[in-house]
Amino acid sequence: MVDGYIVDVNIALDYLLDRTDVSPRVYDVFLTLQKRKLNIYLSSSQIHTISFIFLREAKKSRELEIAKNELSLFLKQCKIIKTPSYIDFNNALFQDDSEDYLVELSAKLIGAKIITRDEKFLKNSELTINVDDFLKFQINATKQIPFLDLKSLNAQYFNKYEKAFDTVVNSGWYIQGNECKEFDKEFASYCGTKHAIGVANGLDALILILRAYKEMGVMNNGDEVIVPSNTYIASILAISQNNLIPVLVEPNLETYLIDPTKIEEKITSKTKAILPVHLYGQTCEMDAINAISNKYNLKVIEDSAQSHGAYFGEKRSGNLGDASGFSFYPGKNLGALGDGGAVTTNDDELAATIRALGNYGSHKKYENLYQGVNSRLDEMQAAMLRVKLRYLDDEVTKRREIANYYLENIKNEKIVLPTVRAENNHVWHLFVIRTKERDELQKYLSKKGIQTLIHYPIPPHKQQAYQKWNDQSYPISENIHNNILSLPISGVQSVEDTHKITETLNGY
Amino acid sequence: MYAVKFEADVRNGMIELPDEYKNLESQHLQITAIVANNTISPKFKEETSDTYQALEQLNSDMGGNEYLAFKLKNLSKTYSYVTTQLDDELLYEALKEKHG
Repeated sequence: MVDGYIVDVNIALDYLLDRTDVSPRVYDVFLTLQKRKLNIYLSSSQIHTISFIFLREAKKSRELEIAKNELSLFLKQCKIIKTPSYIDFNNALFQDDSEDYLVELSAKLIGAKIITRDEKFLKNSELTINVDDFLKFQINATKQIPFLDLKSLNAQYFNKYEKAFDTVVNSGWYIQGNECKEFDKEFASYCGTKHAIGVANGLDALILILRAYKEMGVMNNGDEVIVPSNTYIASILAISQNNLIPVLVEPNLETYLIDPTKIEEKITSKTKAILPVHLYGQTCEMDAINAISNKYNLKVIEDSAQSHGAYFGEKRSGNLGDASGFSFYPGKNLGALGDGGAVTTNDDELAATIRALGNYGSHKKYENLYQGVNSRLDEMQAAMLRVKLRYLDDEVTKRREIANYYLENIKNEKIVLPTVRAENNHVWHLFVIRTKERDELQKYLSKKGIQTLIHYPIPPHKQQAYQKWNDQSYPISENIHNNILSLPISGVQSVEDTHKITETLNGY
Repeated sequence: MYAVKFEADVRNGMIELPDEYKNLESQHLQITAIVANNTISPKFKEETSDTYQALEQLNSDMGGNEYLAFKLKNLSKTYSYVTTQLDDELLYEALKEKHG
């Protein structure tokens, strides 16, 4: 998906110096880029040339300080992308014009085209496009609305990622280094817990919590853990992979979350924990769940894979039970550039046990207390997550704005909107509607250029992986799985796109 | 160059220098006059260039833009650029100016 264009030096200078005599459509180029929400990219290799020429020419008509400020404001509107150092000195373009070659190298990096009026560059590079063709293409382009534009989402942080990458590469320390240590501290502080332990992924986070409780003597093989029947399968895999028994409890149809009123009837002498899942980003009714856990002396293990930053009362997801598992899968509100996960807890012994279990069972170098596994957060991912954690609240705010717009403006009697208990309970990892015409609605939206997804199409008890449950009936979960549809929502979704989605749904 | 500021009346097409600036006598000066609006004849009002007007329109079409707003605030309303050199030539001169 095209999310922006590199503007060549000549186009940037046309705009900065207002060279409309040689570039009469230059203002149209920048207006179109803005209207189409396309990034204006500049290769770092172009900046000195633009700067040199602009300041030299501009000081003839304004004070130098004014010109410098103009240049800074222009550059602030652009996204600067790096100039790679992997240069092919035998490349024909390099040999012909090294400046053009470096710009093309940057363009390849992000899959962007270069708007230029340099005839030689237009002839020598397939990645170039002239002004007229750019404007013609944009007028005719039909805009698709992706479910989640991960590339644009991460493009917000390109420069900061680059710095983080350079820091890790040049540190010479690639496992459990400073980035992991700092991320653990920062994420614990964000969640309000004593500990955060980075692990390899969200599933491992849950597996390691349960495994640690077994090592600590809190649970044994064959014990039962209560879990919602409406969840992504990872919540249940974590239980069964520990030789524990998942006991499924139906959700509330309106919130899609585990129904606390149905928990007690499933508790037996074997029950050792409740594993509530803050599905789609909304925290479960933790006061009711914690009251049950206190009554029966059960552990509460939150599945916070989708609820980074969500509150319940004064506390955040991750700090609402005895321990919590987070996923940093790339599509999550706090997503890495690969796999990643974490456990949060206020329990010192649990934290130390999990830290050891994830590191081959070792609490001290070359000494192993447990038959552990290798499940550590990658140092590079920790560095990237530290960048994004600083902007997590902004991401959530933008998602809430979109969700509130959907909630107030989608008016179609065939569509049931999600129920929210309190605004700060929900971080809108997913905005999930229900309709009896789900498949038809999804096709209709697709034809209108709007991508939607289903989270999730098959409930865990109907999966082949759990064949022994296939004949069991969980009608509320089945109803949800048959009727749900997730609408696009993210921090980079434009107001125009949100309006278009709403109008299209209202027109169904 | 440096700037001085004083107030004076125009009489018979001449501006009389105040005593404290008599040292400027016989020197070549660039004069920018600030004139009360109600005294200026329409034919002498500052003209707005096509470039300036186009920038105003662009800023409006973009719904207000920090870069353009700053530019419009500081740029002469008569500004327009006439291209006389290729970018390569301009760069050569700029680099030569820096590196010698």
